[in-house]
Amino acid sequence: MKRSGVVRSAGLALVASLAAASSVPAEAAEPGPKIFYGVELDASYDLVERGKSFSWDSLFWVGTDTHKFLLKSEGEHDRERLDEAEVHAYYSRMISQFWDVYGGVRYDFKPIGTTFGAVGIKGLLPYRFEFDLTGFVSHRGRLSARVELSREILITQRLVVDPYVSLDLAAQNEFQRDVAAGLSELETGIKLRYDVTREFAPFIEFRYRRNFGYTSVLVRRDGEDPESIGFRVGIRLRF
Amino acid sequence: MRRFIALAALLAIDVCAGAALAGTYDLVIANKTVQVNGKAVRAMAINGQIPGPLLRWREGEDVTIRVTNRLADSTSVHWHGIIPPNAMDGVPGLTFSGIAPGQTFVYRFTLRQSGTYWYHSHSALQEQSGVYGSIVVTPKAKARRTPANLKVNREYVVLLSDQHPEDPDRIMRNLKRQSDYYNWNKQTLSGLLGRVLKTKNPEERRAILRERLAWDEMRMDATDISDISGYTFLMNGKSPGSNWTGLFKPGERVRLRFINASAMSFFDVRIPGLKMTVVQADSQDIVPVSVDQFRMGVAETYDVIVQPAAGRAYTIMAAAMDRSGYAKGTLSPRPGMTAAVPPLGLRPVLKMSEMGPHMHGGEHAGHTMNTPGKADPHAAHRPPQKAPALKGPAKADPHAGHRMPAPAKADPHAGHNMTGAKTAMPASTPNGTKRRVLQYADLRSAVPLPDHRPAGREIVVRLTGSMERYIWTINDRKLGEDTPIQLRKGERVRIKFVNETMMDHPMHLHGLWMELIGPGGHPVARKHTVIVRPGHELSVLVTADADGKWALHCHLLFHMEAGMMTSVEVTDRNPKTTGAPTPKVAPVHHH
Repeated sequence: MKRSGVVRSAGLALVASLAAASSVPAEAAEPGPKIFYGVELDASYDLVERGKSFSWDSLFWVGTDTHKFLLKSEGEHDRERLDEAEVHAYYSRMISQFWDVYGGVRYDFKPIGTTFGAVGIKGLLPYRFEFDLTGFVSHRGRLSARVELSREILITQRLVVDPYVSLDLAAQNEFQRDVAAGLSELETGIKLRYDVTREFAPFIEFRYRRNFGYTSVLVRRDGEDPESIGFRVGIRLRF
Repeated sequence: MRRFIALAALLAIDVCAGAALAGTYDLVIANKTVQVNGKAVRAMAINGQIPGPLLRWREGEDVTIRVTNRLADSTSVHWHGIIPPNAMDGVPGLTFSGIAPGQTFVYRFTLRQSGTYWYHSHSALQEQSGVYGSIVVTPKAKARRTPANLKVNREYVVLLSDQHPEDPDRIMRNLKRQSDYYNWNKQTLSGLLGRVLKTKNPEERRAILRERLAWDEMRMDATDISDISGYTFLMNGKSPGSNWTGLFKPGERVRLRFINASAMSFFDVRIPGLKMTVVQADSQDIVPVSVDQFRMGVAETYDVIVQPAAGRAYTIMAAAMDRSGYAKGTLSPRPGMTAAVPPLGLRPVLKMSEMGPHMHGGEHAGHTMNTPGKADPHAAHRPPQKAPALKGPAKADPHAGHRMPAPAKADPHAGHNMTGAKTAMPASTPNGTKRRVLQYADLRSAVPLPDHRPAGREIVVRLTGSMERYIWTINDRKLGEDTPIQLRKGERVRIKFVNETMMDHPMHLHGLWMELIGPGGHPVARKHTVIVRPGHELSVLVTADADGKWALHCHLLFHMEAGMMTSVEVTDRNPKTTGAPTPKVAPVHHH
């Protein structure tokens, strides 16, 4: 039932974004603004900690310069069970040279099915820091936010260091999904990748993750570790 | 309609009806598979050729060109630099509706001009696929009493172009996904460390770090000289290995008609061992000027005369501005000979201190070399009041680039004067050589320009965009969102291009000549395409003497396709100068 909710919401977002795209005045010379698309996938596997963990972070986007539809998914498969899985569907609109705002829905499959409404802003800060801030309201009426910051550093033309940090914050307790008010989760790490081509790059990654406050109690009660360190190996695909 | 014209041969039928000259030409545009670096690539050809056939026309000729489209998509042909009636200009959506697949469009116009021109598709990215060719229009018989200094024994068209192994639509998508997709020469940490460690002077070290931080702060990259890499550069359709050759007898005077028909590449052209006398720019005769090198923006043409005295081969070297490669050919007394290929030189890097005052983010621009210790990168950027501006010192003066003239904003009349710094073509001079490089300030029309009225108003055309997103615009508007510039028939205006980006833009105006402005604000030379340097401005005078809607766009093909195009509409009505947010219209003061 919840799954179909996600599909419906994603469909609405797509319709909304396409409607917005087609409302741009058609140019006489060319048939309307051009539509492009892109696929991004980072998939990695934990080498040491806790044996077998597979995680993914993916994005499909389609649209014009101004209007885009985004479909994101990220999650982790731990010790032969799905630990975490999120799907986001957004309509995104360019607001300036470096910034886009977006809104749509997110659905979490784990630890319990939860639907969120979401709005966010994403862009490039001075000194080339990539910034992404999203606010969520769950179907239980609880507010939360996620802020992500990263920056690529080119060691050489192909060897790239990519440090990142991501924070989950909650305004209220939402015990159903193992979240307590306050800073609930920190994820930070550093990726070292080698761009064989723009499309394909293997990487190694150090990742540190920690839950805070009462969230860590909730997580532990659920049989998870509130703090983990991972050494990962993965591939990055862009096409 | 008539199938037999599918015969791809170029057919020229001369009809002498009274005194009138007339010719009919058939061009067929079709897909073709070509080899690029040993890879089979789907391209588009005219009459089976890339470049298309050379069209030799005569001034006064009534030409009829039947263009047949054998592609799956709509196509068009634009006669670059030639001013036909508006409906014959070949810009889909502006002057006609394009040529549908399977259809033949008949272009008909009378040639009122002579010189070196070229033609190309004005539809989507077809020009990158191979739909281009050269045009030579010979002057009328009575005008053919050539002055001695223009007499030549033979002449060649030297058409430069760039060919890419990837499909142009794919290139565009790659740029939209990741605008630095093709830049494999970005500034890196190891590069920075290398430079800092090599520098002994702590002040210089700090300067290097400051510069890097400044680029990062602006979210721009100093190595973004050209957007696309991976090109093979061609001379008359031949790669450097295939070595296009033009024959001469020692002592002969040879006219070379250079055309930059590439989609995205600027070239620095020279022939080591030979002085080149530039006699024509953008098809217009100029007062001959002798140079060692000249820069060609996309779509510009230059005619030069050389006189190779020795019975040896000479390399015609056209180095891509980003130094990623070169097109080359040989002038030779016998087939099969070659001469040494000069070194390409260092890859240029944008230097903030040399950017013009108008760049977004605030600083100045220009091109310089990677290692300021060795070359003399600043010579070309000094305000060259005198024509031989490149008498730079052999050793670099690190501060030379800072001596820029006052930003044009400070002086409302600055636009009248063609200070070299605003219009000079940046030259890449190698170590210590005093190479004479052509500047826009050198261009002087050989015949008096007809219109000496001052401009009635100034129209500001800001060149804008976002490299990060690969969006390119004019006055912040893409084609389709733009406000066409309205001109009243016969009026004289000044167009001020203000380049707010960090890239060179070769701006092309269809239908109306752009006149470079010399000392005293007088028009000095006509151009159909002008390079506007990063962060700089360039003013031109325009007389609205041709009716219709004329395209105005950046001739970097992918910039145009990304939206850097608008139009100029010439009508009998008084232009609406109110209500339109762009273009900005400002009164002009005269001395």
